[in-house]
Parts: sequence; C-alpha cells; structure tokens
Amino acid sequence: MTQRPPVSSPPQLARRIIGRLISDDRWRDVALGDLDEEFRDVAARRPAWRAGLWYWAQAGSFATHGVRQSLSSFLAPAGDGPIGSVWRDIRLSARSLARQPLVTTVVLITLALGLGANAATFGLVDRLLLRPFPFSNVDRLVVLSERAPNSIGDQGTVAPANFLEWRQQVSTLGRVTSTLWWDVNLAGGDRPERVQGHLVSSNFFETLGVAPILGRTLQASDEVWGQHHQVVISEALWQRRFGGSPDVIGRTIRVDGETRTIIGVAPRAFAFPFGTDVWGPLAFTPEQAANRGAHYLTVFGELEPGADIERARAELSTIYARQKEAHPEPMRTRELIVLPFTTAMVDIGLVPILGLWQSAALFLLLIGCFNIAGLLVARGSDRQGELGIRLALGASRGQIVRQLLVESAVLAAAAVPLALATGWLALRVLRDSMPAKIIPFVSGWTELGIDLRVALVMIAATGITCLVFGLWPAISVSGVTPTAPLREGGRTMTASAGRSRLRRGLVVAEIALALPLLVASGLAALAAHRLANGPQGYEPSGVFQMRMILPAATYKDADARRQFGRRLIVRAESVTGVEGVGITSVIPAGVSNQTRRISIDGVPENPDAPVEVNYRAISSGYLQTMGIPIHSGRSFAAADRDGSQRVAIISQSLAEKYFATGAALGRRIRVGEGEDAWTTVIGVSRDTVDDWFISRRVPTMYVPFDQAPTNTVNLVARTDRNPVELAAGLRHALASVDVAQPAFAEMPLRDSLHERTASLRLVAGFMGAVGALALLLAGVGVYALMAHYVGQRRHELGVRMALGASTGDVLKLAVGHGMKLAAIGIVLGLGGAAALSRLIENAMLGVIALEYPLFVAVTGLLLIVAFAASLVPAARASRLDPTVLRR
Amino acid sequence: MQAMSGRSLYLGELEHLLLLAILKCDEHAYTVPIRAMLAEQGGRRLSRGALFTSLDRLETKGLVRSRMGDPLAERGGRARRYFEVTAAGLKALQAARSALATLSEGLDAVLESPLESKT
Repeated sequence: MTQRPPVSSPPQLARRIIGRLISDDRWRDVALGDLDEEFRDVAARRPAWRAGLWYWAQAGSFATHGVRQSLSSFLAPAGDGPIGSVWRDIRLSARSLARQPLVTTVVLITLALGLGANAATFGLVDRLLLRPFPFSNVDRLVVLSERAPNSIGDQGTVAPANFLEWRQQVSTLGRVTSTLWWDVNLAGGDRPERVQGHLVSSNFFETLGVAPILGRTLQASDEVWGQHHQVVISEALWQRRFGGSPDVIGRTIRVDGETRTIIGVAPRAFAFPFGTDVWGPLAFTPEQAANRGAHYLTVFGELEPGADIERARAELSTIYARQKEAHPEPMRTRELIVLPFTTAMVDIGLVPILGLWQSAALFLLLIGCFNIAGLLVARGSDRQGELGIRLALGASRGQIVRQLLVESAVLAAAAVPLALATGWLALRVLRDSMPAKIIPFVSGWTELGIDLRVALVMIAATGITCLVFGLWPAISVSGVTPTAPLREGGRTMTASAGRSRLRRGLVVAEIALALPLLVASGLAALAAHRLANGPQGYEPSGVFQMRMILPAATYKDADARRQFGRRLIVRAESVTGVEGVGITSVIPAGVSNQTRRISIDGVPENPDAPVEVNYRAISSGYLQTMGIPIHSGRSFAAADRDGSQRVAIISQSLAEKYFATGAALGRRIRVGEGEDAWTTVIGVSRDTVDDWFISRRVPTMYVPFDQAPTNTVNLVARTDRNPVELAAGLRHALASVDVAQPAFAEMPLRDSLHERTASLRLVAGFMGAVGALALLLAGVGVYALMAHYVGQRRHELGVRMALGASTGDVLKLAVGHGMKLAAIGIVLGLGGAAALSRLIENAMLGVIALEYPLFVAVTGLLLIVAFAASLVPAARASRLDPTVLRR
Repeated sequence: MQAMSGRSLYLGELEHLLLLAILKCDEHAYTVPIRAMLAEQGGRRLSRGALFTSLDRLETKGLVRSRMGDPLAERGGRARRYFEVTAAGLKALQAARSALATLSEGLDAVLESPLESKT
C-alpha cells in the first residue's frame, strides 16, 4: 500500500455501456463514480487485465440487473381490470405448466410436430399452388387454349393462325403473347451444350413485366420470318458461358447450327417457362401463320385495365365462334378455354398430392390435439381438489374455464416458434431431396420456405388448434362440484363418468383418424416401390441411354437423319461391352412423348372421337435391346427400310382395343393423311409403362426409324456390365458420326427411371413420416389413457386382487379395456378409410388401388401398438402388492 | 406495536439490513461502503443495480434521505451520494426490533443452544 503503481484507467467501452444502461442521471453519476473509486483499488492490487475484467464484470452485472428489472415490471400484475386478471392467469399458467415438466414437454413436442407438418404443407401449397409465379401482374394474366376432347396428355395448345388473329382482334386483353418449347444445342466454346430454350412472341417480356439487365428484349421487327436471328439469354447462361462479360451484347452464338446474335440478358432468376436459358423470337413462315390444324403454342395475355376474365371469355368466344364458322374443318372438335394464369400453368398433378399432404398434416394435428386434450383432462382430474377449493372459495366456473383456457393458450404460444422451426426444417429436407432436373418444372420450388405469410397463417391455425384441444377439457374439468373432492378427502375414487367418457372418446377418435392416414402412407410407399421396381414392360437394368436432337440446319431432310441413325447404330454396336443397340424417337421414362391420330382400315372413323395413339420410330434392334417381347408376329428387320413396304408393330393394348383377338396381324393402319401413309401391322408387342402418371398401357404404335426418321434420337445400348462403363465408348461413337452433335440425358436407364419417380418417392417419404408420427401419437394416447385408467382404479384392482383375482385377471381387465377402445376406433377408421379411398387413389395419381392386404396389415399394426400401450401400465399395476393398491 | 399498523413502515428483510448498514456506516454512508458493509457483516452480496433500486425504494418510502457530496478527483470529478436514516426509518427499525424481541421471548433455549453466538 505504500508505493502504488501507476493506475490504469477503466475500459472506455464498458464505461460507455454502463452509462447507457442506467437511465437515471443521478444514479448514473453515482455508479460511474463508485466504479472509478473501486477500480483504483482493484487496479492497485491486481494486474491491469484483471482490473479490466473486473470492470467488464460490473457492466455485465448492470446489464443482467436491467433485464431482470424490466422482466419483473413486465410480469407485475397490471391492476385489477380484465387485462390485469388475464395477465395473472398467464403467470399462474406458466407456473402451473412449469410444475409438470413432463406433460408440458410432451404437449409441446406434439404441437411442434403437428403444427410444423402443417406449416410445411401450407408453405408448399402457398408457394406451388397459390403463387408459384413471381410476376407482379400475375393476377391480371390469363391463359388461352384450344382444347380438344379425347386427346392423350391433353395440352390444349393453340394453332398459330388463331393466335395471330386473337392478337389483333381482342380488346379486353392489352397484350397477347405466345411461347413454344425450343430445346436447343449450343455450339462453340469447349463443348456443345444442350439447353432449355423457348421461342416467344416479341411482347413476351413486356407482358410479364420483365426488363433486361443488359441490352434489350425482343421487338416486333425480330418476329419477321427471315430476320428472327436474335436471342435473349438468361443471367445464369451469361455467367456460365460468357463469364458475365458486359460485351456479350452483339456477340453471335451457334444455336442448333444457326448463327444468332445475343441482344439481351434477362434478369437474375428469371427462367420462365421451365428453366429457360435462351429465348428466341417466335416467327412464322406464311404457311405456319395460316395453319389452324397444328396446335403447339402456349398463349397468354394481360387483361386491359377495367376488364375481367369474364369479359375476356365472352369476347374471345365470339371471336372463336367466328373463326370456327370460317374454318370448320380443322377447328370442329376444338373449344376455347380461358383460365387464370396460375390455375392454367400449375401442374395439375400437384393438386391431389398437396391436397393429400395437407389433409394428412391436418389429420396428424387433430390426432395430436386429441392427445393433448386427453392429457389435459387427465391433469384436470388430478386437479379436482385444487379446482374444487377454488370454486368453494368463490371462483366462478367461468373464471376456472378461463384459467384452463389460458393454460392451453400459453402452451400453444410456446409451441409456435417450435412449430415454425419444425416446418422450416421439413421444407429444407424436401427442397434438398428433389432432383435438380425436376426443379425447373415446379414453379416456386426454389422459393420454398417459411415466410411471414406462412407464419401468420400458422399463428391463426395455432389459435384454432388451441381452442380444439383446450376448450373441451376446460369445460369438462370445470364441471366439478365444489364440495365433492373435499368430501372424499382430496382423493377421487374414479374420474367423473363424463370425463372418462370424454377421454375414451378421444382415444377412439385418435385411432379412427390414424387408420386412414396409415392406409394412405402404406399406399404411397407401395406405389413408390412399385413404380421404381415393379414391372415396366421393359427391362431397365443393364441399359445405357443418351439423347440427341438433330438440328434442322444440319440435318435438312429425312435422308440425312436416316443416315445418321444407321451410322450411329453401326458405331455403337462396335463399342466394347455392348450386346445390343437400338434407337427410338421416344424412350420410356423420358421427358417427351409423341402421339399421332390414326385411321384403321375397315373401322369407320368417328370425327368426334378420333383415335390417337402413342407413336415411336424405332430401329430394328430396339425392342430386343429394351427387352420388350413380341407377343405375335415379328419384330422389325433390316429389310424394313426406306422404300420397302411400310410396316408397323402395335402394342397389346392397341390390338385389344380395335381388333379381335389375334386379328391384328396383316391389318392396315394409316398415320395422318394420304394414301401413302398406310402401314401394315406385322407384330404385336407387350405394353410398356412410359410414364407412370399419364401413360401406362396407352395404345402405342411403332414404325421403323428407317421409314420415318425423326430428329429426336434416343440411343439405347444393353450390356451385362455396369451400364455406366458404356458412356465413354458411346460418346466416342457419336463423335465419330458427328463431332458437333451434343448428347444429353446420358445415364443408365435405371437412373432415368429413378429420376422420373423421384416426386412419388418424395410423396411416399412424407406420408411415411406422417404415418409413423400418427402411429406414435396414437400409441402415446392409448398409453396415457391406460396409465391414468389403471392409476385411478388402483383401489378397485387392489380389492379384486385381495379377493383372489390373479395377476392374469387384472391384466385381462385392464388390457381388455384398452383393446375394446382400439377395436371401436379401428372399425370407425376402416369406415373412414373406405370412404376416403377414392380421394387417396386420386392423390396416388391412380398408380395404385386400395388393397385389402394393406387394410389388414394396418389394422394389425394398430392393434399391436394399442396392445403394447395398454399392457405396460396394466402389467405395472398387476405387479403391485394388493395392500399398496388399496391404500 | 402500534407502529406496525402503518403499512409504509413494514420492513422487508433487505430493507431492514440496508437501514442497519447505513446506520453503521454513519457519516461515511455512501454507496460503496454501504454495499461493502452489507456483504461483510450482513452476508448479503448485492449487485450495484439492486442496491440502487432498494435505496431508491427506501427513499420513496421516506425511511432514508440522500444528499450529494462534493465532486472528487478519484471519482472522475463525480460526487458521492450519502444516505441517512430518517426518523421514520428509525421508528420502523425499532418497531421491527421490538416485534422480534417480543416474539423471541422464552425461545432463548431454542435460538441459542445449537449455534455458537456470533459477534
């Protein structure tokens, strides 16, 4: 103390923080002064860093004191008004919930899962169905289509001549624009690339309210045939291929063998429709512009201010009627449809799937609610003493109901953040499990998440949920007579009859709800399994595939395409490991399809119901390579070539539909118009599953590639090795035929099939998770009921055992009670599942029908769970000493 | 006992200890020694924030009054805040003490025997 070392000064930041923490001026000065004074002492005795630390600790102490102060003033009773008393109820509830951590935790977890599942599904519905398109004027956009009844995979698209007339004549729509699918090969750079393109009308970008980030978009002069050599590229392509260089405008790029000028770059993340990277002007030749028979345009427009969809519909049907009158033949079977943009553009397959998910999530939440209600009733039974005393002391029944409801509300409020986190996590998992190739086709997928909209809806849903699980128990529990519990010395012999009936009813309802949910989960799992592993009609294992689109600029006529096909087959056959090679215009589990209208010799044509079939041009080795057997007749041979008799192979389903058994061979089928279009059926093949969702056992017709070469060529090669080993050899074979020709979708056929069924596996995965949770919750529900039932009947059971009942008798009594409830629930649930079966089948996209073995399996599973859940508490009771039980 | 009927004179345990500490510090009764006294002799470690709040409350109740001292260099030019027990404070202390004494009467055997007496 004699010699003080030089005193360091307190840390300035900490001092400033403390200054901020104290609002009262006088006290702030006192505090800082005190600290200075004491700091000198501390600094004299300790090293400077320790003194600094000490000062910071003081700042920390002020901070925690501040937090505690504001919390306690926040929690202080706010007077005697209605708000004050609710506040008191909330504090009371929080305390009473904290006293039963186990029940509270179970309730919170149940709510988090139930509400979380709903948050996730609502997030999906909202993003994928309600507002998948981010355009600002999306509510003003309408889609126009000409629908033809009875066509396969009804796309309802528009013929060019009609579109061009609408664009000029319609006054209710300010802009009318159209798009056309345009897969393109990009050449140049280190390697040719296949990208998604669309040809679009010049006003496409303005109609969607999209401005370029560089250069310009299309203008009317680009649409003139012969001057249509511009492209707008996506921001992603600009970065990927041009490194984001600003001098890309004006550069040329080889698109499908044609030179085009880059005139603009679209804004980031704009890739409509379907992940487009390249937009070219949609120009028509004079013949195309006059065509009303070929329907291939997607057309949409923006409503004029003041116009609504009804007026647009009325105006367009007048125009359409006029067009039909002027051009009856090509348009006779068509009708005009005007739909809101989102309705028309959303994948219709999503609606039943998301509907199923949302209802499954709601079922889960209901089961959870019943569970919680059961727990609260049980807790209420245990609290009869407390509540009876409160009633006796003058609390009204309303006050007690209110307190119990507030308890539920406190639970629900605490569950909201947990539920949102669960939902967010579920969406994360979903997002990551979707194959990248499918994502561009699901608009809105990349935006999936929990946003403010979803959060607000969830908070509202939580409020309703809280009433569902809280109100009933509150009313039931508060129906205690003030004196009853006191008279019985605070011990209830059995719960009042009404209350235990309510609890039993809840458990029955849980099981009844869980059953249809489990049936649906089982169906989804079966369907996904069957899709990927069931019979496809061909043998996908051991086959490697690759796809080429021959650009019209390089392959100008049928002969060029024919030569390409022949040479490719020869080169591919010589690749090491290849056992068989084939080419086809359309491959099963691929992304595209081809259909043709046909006439059958000897069958009168019905112009209102034309016969439309799947159409594939294949090489002679294709069916054998794919493992598609010929049931009768023969397969194509090398002799079925250009110039020889035109032949066809038809699928079993086509043969059965239009020919008597065995009578198809030798009959003639005409594809399109003209006498030379007649082909002779030489074989009947097995049906294939091209696409599980829209084309199973669809009548299909095969023609020799040599006689009708297409510009889409799928190469398939069979091997007894791992098919991936063929990749390099086949790529080399292609390069030796045409070095500039890119190939894509290079993968084993199995993988392609796997990709195509990814969405259904996703459905199955989600349903499986919900089903498992439902089973768990139902089990917990039965367990909780039985534990409470046995607990409340200890006295009775004790008496029975003392009177000579064996352990087995007691077990039988208790387990029998549980199983009786389970059986009632199952009967009700089976009824529900049967009633819902149509809905479930629809949601499974008709892939699978309800099956009785599944019903039996699900029933068995539920019975086992219910049995186990009642056995455990019953066994515990039967092991107890009778004298203990009776006490 | 009549003093106990006044509601404002009812003392919490912490208030009781604080009043005693202020009395003990006598003319040095400003915040730093009061807090030290409370910790060393009262066995109560109080955060500065809690001390200030309690002193404020005592002053509002009229049990203590405070005054600012002169600015001091070692406090960075800030003054000390000195506290003094008011007449009402003293009355409350006396009332509490007599209540304790009355209640403790005849309990010497219980209250003193198992523990060593403290100084």
